[in-house]
Amino acid sequence: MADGTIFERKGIQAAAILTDTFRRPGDAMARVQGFSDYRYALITHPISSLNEAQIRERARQALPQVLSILGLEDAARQTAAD
Amino acid sequence: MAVVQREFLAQDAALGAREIIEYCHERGWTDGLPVVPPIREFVDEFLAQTQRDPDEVLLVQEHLNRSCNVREAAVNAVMAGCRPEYFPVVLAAMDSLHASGITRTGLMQSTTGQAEIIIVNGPLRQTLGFNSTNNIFGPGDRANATVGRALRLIVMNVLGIRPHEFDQSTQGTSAKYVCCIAENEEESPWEPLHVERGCSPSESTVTAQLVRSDLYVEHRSTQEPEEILMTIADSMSYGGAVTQVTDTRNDLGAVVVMGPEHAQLIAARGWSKQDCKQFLFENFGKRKSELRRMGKLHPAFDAEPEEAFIPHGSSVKNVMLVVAGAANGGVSTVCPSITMGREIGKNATQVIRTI
Repeated sequence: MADGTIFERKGIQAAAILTDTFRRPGDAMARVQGFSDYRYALITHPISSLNEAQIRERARQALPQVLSILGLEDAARQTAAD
Repeated sequence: MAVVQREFLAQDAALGAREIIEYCHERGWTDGLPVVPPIREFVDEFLAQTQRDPDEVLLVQEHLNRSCNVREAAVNAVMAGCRPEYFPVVLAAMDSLHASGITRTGLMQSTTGQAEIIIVNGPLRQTLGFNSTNNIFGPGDRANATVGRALRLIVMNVLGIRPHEFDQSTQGTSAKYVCCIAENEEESPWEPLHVERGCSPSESTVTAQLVRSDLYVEHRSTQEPEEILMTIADSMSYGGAVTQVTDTRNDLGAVVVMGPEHAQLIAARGWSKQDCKQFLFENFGKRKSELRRMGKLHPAFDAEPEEAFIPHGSSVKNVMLVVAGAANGGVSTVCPSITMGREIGKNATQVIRTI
């Protein structure tokens, strides 16, 4: 989350991805970085114990959110529909 | 009559103190235990123990936009119940965390739930009453208890690393309340930690690291150095400490707090401190087959024979050896750590500067 906000401050588009268990520290980190309404992609926890197929599922969960955060709304809608 | 007046005064003072204690709890300024109200007079007594400017920044946690100066450290040392003369030890511990680079990382927020271990060496241990013998990790000694607590309160109150927010520990460790020990230099057969790390025996120092827990290690039925040390190395290498890494081998470490009885038995057979550390390093790891059984075998090890020994640390520097506790039993402690041997930890020994 800190990296995402630092990239944005430097003018580099970024999309932070959090698993749902880290929502609270993520919001707190955005606040201390001065981005209290910072948008991020939220996916289901956990990650580290998943196999490849399960990781792909998490990526599918993240993708439309990431595209939307990056301003690619049409692509986001299309990806969500797929 | 005078007795009655004193009783009333004491009752009023106690009621006032409780009100302030409750206020501190409500503001989230505690570790869950009552704190001493940090009134200005108390804080000034602490600041009088150092020549350092109250506004001097001791360390920075850049990614949280937080820093801690001397005055803020004094406030929390008061709250922790320190005596004013302990304050230079708190400052040296802060210097150690800063110089070691620990606070340039996010390790204090990690799900691994790491605690600061503070190791005090030199003559000030005795002057200030630090415990280095019985019950070294347990309660009962004010200097150990309050200096360790001061560090944790600073982490929570000044750096803002509190549970349920920036402290993301999955379970944490009870060492996060307090983990402050002094080396038992009097009963150690070897040079103390601060001398090993380049300081003079007449200097007093603090060495801080982050540790994940304190693991009990027993061997009371041998005088053979290899058997004692193999038991300690096995405890350092327990499966739960192993993280599967991606592009490098494991780079774990440990603070080994060896009981004086173990140390004296080993030294009596002619082993130096460096010999011990080398032995522990060479036996710090697991066989490939054991890692496979635990599902912790990374593909990087595919080419290794099934019975190959997979080291957990990259260097003997990943093993820190301190002698502490009572000389009344064959007991030692292993504190698993990932902050040694790397850039982090190199400069972790800092001199306590008194007036």
